[in-house]
Amino acid sequence: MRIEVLPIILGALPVSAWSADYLTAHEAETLMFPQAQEFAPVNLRFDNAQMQEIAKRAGISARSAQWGVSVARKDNVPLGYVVVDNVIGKFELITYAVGVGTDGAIRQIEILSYRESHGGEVRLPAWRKQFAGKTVAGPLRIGEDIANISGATLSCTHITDGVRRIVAVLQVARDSGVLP
Amino acid sequence: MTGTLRRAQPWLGTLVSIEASVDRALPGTHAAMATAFAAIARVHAAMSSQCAGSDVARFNAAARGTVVTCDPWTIRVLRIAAELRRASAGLFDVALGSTRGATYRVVDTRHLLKLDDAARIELGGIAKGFAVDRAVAVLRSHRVRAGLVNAGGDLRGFGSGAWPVQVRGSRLRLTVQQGAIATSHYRNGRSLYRDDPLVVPDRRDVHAVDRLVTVAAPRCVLADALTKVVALTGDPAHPLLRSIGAQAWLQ
Repeated sequence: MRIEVLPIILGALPVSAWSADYLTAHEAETLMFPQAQEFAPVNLRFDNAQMQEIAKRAGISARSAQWGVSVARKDNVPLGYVVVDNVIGKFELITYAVGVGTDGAIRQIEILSYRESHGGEVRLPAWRKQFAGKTVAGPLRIGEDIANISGATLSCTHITDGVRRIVAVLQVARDSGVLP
Repeated sequence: MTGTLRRAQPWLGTLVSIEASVDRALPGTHAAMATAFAAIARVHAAMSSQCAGSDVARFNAAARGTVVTCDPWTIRVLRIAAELRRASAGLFDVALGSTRGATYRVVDTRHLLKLDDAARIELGGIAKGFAVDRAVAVLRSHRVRAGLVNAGGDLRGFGSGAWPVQVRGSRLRLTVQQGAIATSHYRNGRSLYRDDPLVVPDRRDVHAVDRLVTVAAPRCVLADALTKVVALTGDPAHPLLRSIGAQAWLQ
């Protein structure tokens, strides 16, 4: 075991802002449907009755009348769907992707990015300094530039709710024939 | 080309992230990560008390005398837990004081006999650490050179990498090379962020525990479990820590 204690930076503050990018939406869909030859974007629009049907199936509100879906296809046969969504928790914004097969079963959930802040603490300079000057050339990623966090992060309730909503969105879209 | 692959998925009620060092000689790193996530998912399905049909949920719902069929990993965790319970004089207890007497008996590597109707087990205080260790074992067996697995703050690094770690809610910063760190934050005896119970039998003062505990240990399952022992004793130099080569920070 090799664990070192780093010197405390005077003025450094408890963890307050943190951010990590994991995969792009395209990387995620390729991992979920490696056999797919193409991913075709489809924009779904639901009317009020459909929104109610989604809410009924998901047990939570449909939230939006418009949803973007990426349809994975091989030889023009649909393999499944990928939906990218955001959920906002108490302190965090999570972007995630859900892959669902044409049988309606969830294939995979991947977190694309995770950002969190604890409000006012973000303004304190010592922690923020870690983020200063991070541009495209110096991407903001844990492990390289930004410390990893020990200490529990979010509860996943928001993601679980979001996934249930997406499964209902896809079901209603397929029932109405908008999705293959 | 060398670099780092990072992925994260929701498991065990939290966010589990895996990062792995990659080089061109190892195109199977994504496959290795998928297998590592599958190991985490297996722990989730077997040991999460919230997961309907998990070993833990079925054990808790069963009547006395029932033989509950379990994933062999659940039995492994229970064996580690029993050892830690003995070594900590009962401070670490997955039965959470639900019974006065015996809770269960391990029949074999797949079966558990429930000994008391009131018996409950909760593996939230140890399963995350175990899951991290299993994921690390998978990555190593796929010859990933270096990596870090982090399950909601219970994390373990392996190989040649060095990872800076900031303890949430604290000024403590550590560098992990080979080894594990777990942090638990208790206020009024309850975990602030997750299912990580502290209750032990005959300890009425448990509700007063208000501590941020970080433990470094060779294995994550030990770091995870020992946060409870340090939180309850308030002793970062508890002899049990030294005996397994662990270190603790208390705030």
